[in-house]
Amino acid sequence: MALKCIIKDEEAVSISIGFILMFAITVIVFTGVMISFYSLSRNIEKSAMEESFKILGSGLANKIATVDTLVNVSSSFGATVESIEYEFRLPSTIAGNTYSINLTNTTHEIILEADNGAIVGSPFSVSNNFTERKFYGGAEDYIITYNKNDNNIYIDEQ
Amino acid sequence: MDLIEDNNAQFMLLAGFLIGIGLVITTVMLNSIMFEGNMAIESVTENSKYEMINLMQITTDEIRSAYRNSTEKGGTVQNATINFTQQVYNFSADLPKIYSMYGGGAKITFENWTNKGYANFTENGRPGGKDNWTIVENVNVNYLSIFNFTINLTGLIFRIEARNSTGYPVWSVVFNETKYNVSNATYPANYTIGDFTNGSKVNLSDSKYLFKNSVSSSPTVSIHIIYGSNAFGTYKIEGETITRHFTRERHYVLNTTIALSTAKVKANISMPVSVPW
Repeated sequence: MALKCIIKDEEAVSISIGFILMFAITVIVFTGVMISFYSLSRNIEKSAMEESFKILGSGLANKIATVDTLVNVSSSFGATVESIEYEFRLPSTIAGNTYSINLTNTTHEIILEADNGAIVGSPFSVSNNFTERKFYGGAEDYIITYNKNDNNIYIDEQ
Repeated sequence: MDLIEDNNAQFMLLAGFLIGIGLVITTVMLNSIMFEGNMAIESVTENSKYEMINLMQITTDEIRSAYRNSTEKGGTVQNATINFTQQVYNFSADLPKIYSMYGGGAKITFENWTNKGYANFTENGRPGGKDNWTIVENVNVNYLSIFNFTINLTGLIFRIEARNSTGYPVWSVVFNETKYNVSNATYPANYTIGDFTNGSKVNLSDSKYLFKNSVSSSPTVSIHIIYGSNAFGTYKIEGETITRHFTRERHYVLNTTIALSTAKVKANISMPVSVPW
């Protein structure tokens, strides 16, 4: 009998109670979303940095390969490269964080790393000598050069 | 008024549902805005290496073409150099205009062969160039029509070799300060042809050099220079490879410099160009 009453009862709450309920539910849900959004944003920041590192790493590998190819192609023409300068710019921060760039000579890998744990390695290939370097962020302008005397490719801050 | 006075929950549920949807949409939008805002976008397209290859190739072709155009007609050396200079000058003057259309810059400098000595027999003609190198591969010996060298020795020995398809030397001629020898697989090693005179023209297809006899068992050979920095002079080899006609000829090596600049890359290259081919 009581169940029948509940089913047939079409009355809900009054406007006032409805508003209070709605407001309370909204506040609770919004607070929950904001809390989860904060933790989510931390993950997004890291994901965004890793994606950016992949783009920057492959771009840098491409630039080094360009200089290396120019030297090799010139050699195939019997020519001597007197100088090559490849200027490029990298962002000083990504997602508001600085990062380091480590160009290793042993494994021929560009390792981009940030304090929040984002780390990405991009392989690069050179047939000439290459001097390894590590940059700790902050710089924006870089230059890749080739020295014919020691047949070496260098990368430096400008 | 009916809506306000309605105590049923439909309006509240509908409003709650709309707010929920709104929150989800806002969250997703903020999410993507934040992700995109953090991304470092960079273009990785870089064409300077192709431009440089292209520039080196057209410069080489143009200088060789100018040399052949000016020398094959005959006439005085003075007129030939004037014609050569005019053609290459026109090319070098037009080059910056063409590259400026693409936002870059290109400049070449060149020399002519007046008062210029013969080049070393290294790969690029320079004294420090590659000593041991291949002039031509897959030569059909039965169709080798010209095989001439003019040799000036500056070191102890200078050698020209023919190798079969496996890389084994089947014939070679060695020039030293006093004589020239032929060594091969068929005849005794160090077979002495005669006395060598510096600056003399040598026709290696002549029967006394035993070239065709030595390589008849392997008619397809590659021709190599060994110790090229020990001598300088000219050469001409003409004939057929397995697939096509070829000419390899060097009178001089003309020094050329190429400067290319794009938005990001600046390169200076010095390139020796062997002429006429």
